Amino acid sequence: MIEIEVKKELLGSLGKMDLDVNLTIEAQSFVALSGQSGSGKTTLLRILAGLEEAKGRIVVDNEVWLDGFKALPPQKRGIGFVFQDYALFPNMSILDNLLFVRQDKALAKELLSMSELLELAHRKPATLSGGQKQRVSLCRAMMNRPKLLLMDEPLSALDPFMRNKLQQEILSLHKTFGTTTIMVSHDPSEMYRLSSRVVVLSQGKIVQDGDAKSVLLRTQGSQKFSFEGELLDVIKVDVIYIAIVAIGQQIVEVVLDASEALDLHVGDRVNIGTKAFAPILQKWEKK
Amino acid sequence: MVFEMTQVWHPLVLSLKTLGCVAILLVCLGIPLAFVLSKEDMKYKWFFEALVMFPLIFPPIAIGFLLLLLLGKYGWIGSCFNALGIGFIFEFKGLVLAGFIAALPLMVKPLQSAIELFPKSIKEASYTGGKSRFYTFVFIILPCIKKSVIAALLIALARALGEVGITLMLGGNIVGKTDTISLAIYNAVFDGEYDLALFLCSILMVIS
Repeated sequence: MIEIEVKKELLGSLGKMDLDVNLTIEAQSFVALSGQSGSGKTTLLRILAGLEEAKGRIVVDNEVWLDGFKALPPQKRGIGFVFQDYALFPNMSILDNLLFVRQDKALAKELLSMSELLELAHRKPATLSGGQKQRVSLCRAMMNRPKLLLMDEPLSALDPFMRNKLQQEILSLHKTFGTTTIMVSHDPSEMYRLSSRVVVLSQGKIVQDGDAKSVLLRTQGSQKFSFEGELLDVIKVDVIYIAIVAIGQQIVEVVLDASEALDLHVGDRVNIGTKAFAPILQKWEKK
Repeated sequence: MVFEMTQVWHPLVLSLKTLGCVAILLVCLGIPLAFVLSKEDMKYKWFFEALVMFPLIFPPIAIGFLLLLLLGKYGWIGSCFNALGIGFIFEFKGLVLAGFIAALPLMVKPLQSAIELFPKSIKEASYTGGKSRFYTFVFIILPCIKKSVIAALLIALARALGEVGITLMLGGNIVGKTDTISLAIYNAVFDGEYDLALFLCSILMVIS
């Protein structure tokens, strides 16, 4: 059980803001932390790790990590931290990277074999691909059997295929070790797949908090499905208008009438939904 | 040849001995100093940085003179050492001190920036893994920046080898006792022994 109550003044994207977070996290749960950039997610994670100062109170399994301004140094917290840029020790082999945290060869070998890295154990980090590096980083974070695993956008630098594979690995590690985990993420599918709870921050405050489905699902009322996107263009064709909307990595066309078109401007955030039809789901490619 | 070989050997051996001692001092004191100065939240950081950089900016002769005043028998610091029976002036120790002070900024500054530029996340990964700042420095940062350490050490030693001003003041340029190779060249030219000066120069060229 982790109780978090922190306050800190931050210089965000829109000038000064206050990070003010009150959160209780159950042991062994997997929490995703989401929100726009500059909302304070990474800072919150770093405060939990003890890498940044803050005022407040953090109690993890009856151990006080922060009380007022008095903070337990990161070395004494027993955490695992996975950085976005891997942060492997370049002068050491993969195995030594793990053993640096704790001299426990059996655990290191177990972790490496779980992530199919055992054959690379004696290579230097520079010779590894991004996905492999992040797996090593994850294994290293698990080496001191952390009470709390913190991950700062661990998969955002990887391609979608690698991301999928690593999500599976994170999930199986979480199942095996049952480590309470907090992960900063932007990717809804990632959050849905991995986390049991999603917390959304905005301007340093919690604006949404709930299970992955209720926070991430964007349909309202009787809508069958709906997507958020950005309006790229509105083209007039005879008497109708066609809106070009970017949704994720795809672009779609939607027919508008004149009154709707008048109200829309290029660059607007829009919501595309439908009510009348049952969407058809077809398999496109087998996993 | 019109000069004796002892006129060459003595300054050469003396210079190499001095360089050896300076190198040991630079490694033992320069590296820890760079580590201490790289600390972001250090108090009076600007003051200590300025102090280390001082010999690079201030003329060597003037520094030599100030040190002479400080370390002389009746000087502020010198009198304390004198009571212990340790004298720096006109001694081999003075030469080492002169070389060390001249070389220190060239050792500390590049190292300090190499340590400061070392990726923060790698350091933090080590901290979260339970390792202290010092442990991280010795086992992660230092092995990673060893090329910078060697380069800084070489540049600093080159500066110590060429040091004349402070050495002249502290060592006294006593022929046969405290004339390092650079000073021997100066003496040779002063005495009109151009052959000797040229020969010593060629030795320096080979060393460089």
